[in-house]
Amino acid sequence: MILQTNGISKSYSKKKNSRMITVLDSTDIELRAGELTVIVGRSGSGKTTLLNILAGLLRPSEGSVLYDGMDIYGCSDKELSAFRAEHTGYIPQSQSILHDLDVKNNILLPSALIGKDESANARLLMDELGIASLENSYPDELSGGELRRTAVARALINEPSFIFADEPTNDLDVKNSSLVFGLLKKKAEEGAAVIVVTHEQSAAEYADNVYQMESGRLRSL
Amino acid sequence: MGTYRLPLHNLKRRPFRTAVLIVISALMTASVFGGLIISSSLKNGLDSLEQRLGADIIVVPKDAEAKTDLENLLLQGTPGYFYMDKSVQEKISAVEGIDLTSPQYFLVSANAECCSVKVQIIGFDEDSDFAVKPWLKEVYDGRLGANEIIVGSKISTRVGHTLKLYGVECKAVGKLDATGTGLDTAIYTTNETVRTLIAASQEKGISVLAKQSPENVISSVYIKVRDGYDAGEVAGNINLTVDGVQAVRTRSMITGTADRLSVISGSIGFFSAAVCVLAAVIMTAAFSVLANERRKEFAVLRVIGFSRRKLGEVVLSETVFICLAGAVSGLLLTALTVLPFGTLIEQKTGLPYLSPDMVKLLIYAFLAFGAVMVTGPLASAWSAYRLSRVDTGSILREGT
Amino acid sequence: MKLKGNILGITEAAGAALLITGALTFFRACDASEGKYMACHWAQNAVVLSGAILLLLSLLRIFIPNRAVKSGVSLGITVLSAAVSFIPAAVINLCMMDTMRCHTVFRPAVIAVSAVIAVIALTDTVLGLRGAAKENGHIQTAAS
Repeated sequence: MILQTNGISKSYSKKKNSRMITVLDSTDIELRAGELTVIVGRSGSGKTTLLNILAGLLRPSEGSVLYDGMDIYGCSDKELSAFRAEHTGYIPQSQSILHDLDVKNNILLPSALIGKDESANARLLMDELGIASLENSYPDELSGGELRRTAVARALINEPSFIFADEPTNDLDVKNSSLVFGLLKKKAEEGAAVIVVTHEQSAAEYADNVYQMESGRLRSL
Repeated sequence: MGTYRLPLHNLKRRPFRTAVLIVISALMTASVFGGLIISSSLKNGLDSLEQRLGADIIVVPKDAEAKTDLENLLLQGTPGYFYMDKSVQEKISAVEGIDLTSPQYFLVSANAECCSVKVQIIGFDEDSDFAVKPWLKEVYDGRLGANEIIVGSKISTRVGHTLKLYGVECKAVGKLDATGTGLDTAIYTTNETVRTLIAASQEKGISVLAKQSPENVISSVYIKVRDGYDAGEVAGNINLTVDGVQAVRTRSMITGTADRLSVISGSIGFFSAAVCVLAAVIMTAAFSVLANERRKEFAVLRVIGFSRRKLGEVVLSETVFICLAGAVSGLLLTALTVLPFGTLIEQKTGLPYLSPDMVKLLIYAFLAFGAVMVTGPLASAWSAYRLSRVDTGSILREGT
Repeated sequence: MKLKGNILGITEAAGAALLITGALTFFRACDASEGKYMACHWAQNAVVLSGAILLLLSLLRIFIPNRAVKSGVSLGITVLSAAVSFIPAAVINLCMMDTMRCHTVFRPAVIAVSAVIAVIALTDTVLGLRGAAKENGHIQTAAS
């Protein structure tokens, strides 16, 4: 699968009738299966905006996002949601684990949504990420790092074709950061297209492609 | 775990909030169901009273207490007795516009061996009676023999068993259906049996509250007015032409009772409506507050791939579960309190009270259930809409 | 004694206490007159005794630590409290007139209170059995 964009950009106006602020300039990018792409940049540079547009979560002001030629923003909400559920995995920057479910059910939620039983895969992921002993724990019993690793497992449960990770190693120590990057690299090698947005320069060593985002402009490194 | 379990998980993890919302739904259901039961029971009682009276006019002795005693007897079953000369019946029959007349004799036993409370005994004339016999016929088709009685529904004696009144074994040959009126605690028999009971009480040396024997006096005369005549005018004529009596229009007794009933029913209706409105307002406010708290949670669900419609379904499912639990609890609670305490409600209101039959009860239960199951989801509809439209991108950025 | 796991048990005990005190006071059956007791008095005594047994069982349920045994005791409470609702009129006769206090107040109150205790105890039993099964599952997994 290939993800392509055609001149996507995003602008906001904070108040009605006031000047528009451009957070993302006209951008073209291509993500291919089997490749890990890293986008580095400072806070507020527009990395998360780009990621959310690519992931189908934020409609661009201009341009289109094409998955194998299909314009995702031309689909209905139902079609887009179904596509996201089956083919994408997203690791948000902030804590995103649901407080009403234990670790195991949090991880299995995306598979339950598409009606698949991925209990075996869940067990493997929990073992790989070192959270197997926490499967029946609830989020209020976990540390920030454990919550982060749970979010990673949840994003990977359906073996998605496209993986979007926004600062996936926040709250993680060096050892666990390597673990997560290693896992994302492994998924890319298994055929997924992975895009990681991070301020960590060390992520580049795992990447097939590296980009820099600065004031809404993307350039290849 | 199927996604249909997600709403249940959400409710289980917030037990206090869930319990409060269930209690609110239960109270709403209970107030609607209970209100419907009580209002319809009061109305049934009034309709029953109207039917059971049978007569257009009841003539009682002139003294002021007699009319009150009659009302108390009919509405609350308070035993009463009053007497007038037997000749009065002939004079009444001569008044123009009267179709049928039938006398009744009231006796109160201070101590029937069945019970330690006063029991009202009503003697009626089998030949001329038109008010009591149509009802007695439903439970006993025949003439009452010596010492045979028909008991009201609230007397525990079973049909075929005997009741000892002043040592006289009286056989209960029939039991009347409940009327919701004071007549449910009365015993009906013939004047001959009444005479026997009086004689027996005198032998035992028990003072009977009746002052004179039925050979010379009667307690009341039931009157059916001829077609084409106005009952009010006929009653007026009786009062003018016959000394020592007062003619009571049954219509006015019923109207008086109906007025009191409408005040009580109105209050019940107002109370139920107030509870419903309050419940709806509280639920709407609660769901609105929750919608704000859960924006991030729903943004995450959206990221995972929940469509807007599915997000709305999650919210509405939670509401439906809450309202279902509340409605069932409310119905059970009402059934456990309002129905068994019906007789107490009757005593406290002093009004005729007849609980509705099973079919009506099921209809009222369904209506109460429906009211909650509609109100709850409506209360959460706006929250469901807001949460399904959550702006994922900006919310996920908020937490950074 | 943990409060959290014993809320239902405490509620059952409170219900039993209500049954005892109510049957002796505000929803008692008819009053005795001249030292003679009417039929309903014996029904009242039976309800009070049953309430005392229910209270004892509820306390046992609270203080016994084993979850499965707790569930067994609450099952017993369920059955006994359901049976109590039949004592007035069905098991022991009440007074002859349905307008007397034993029919209008005592019997409905006993039915209401004992039914509520039965429902709470049944819920307690079901939740307790499920919890005990979960615990056993965990122990087996840990042991294997």
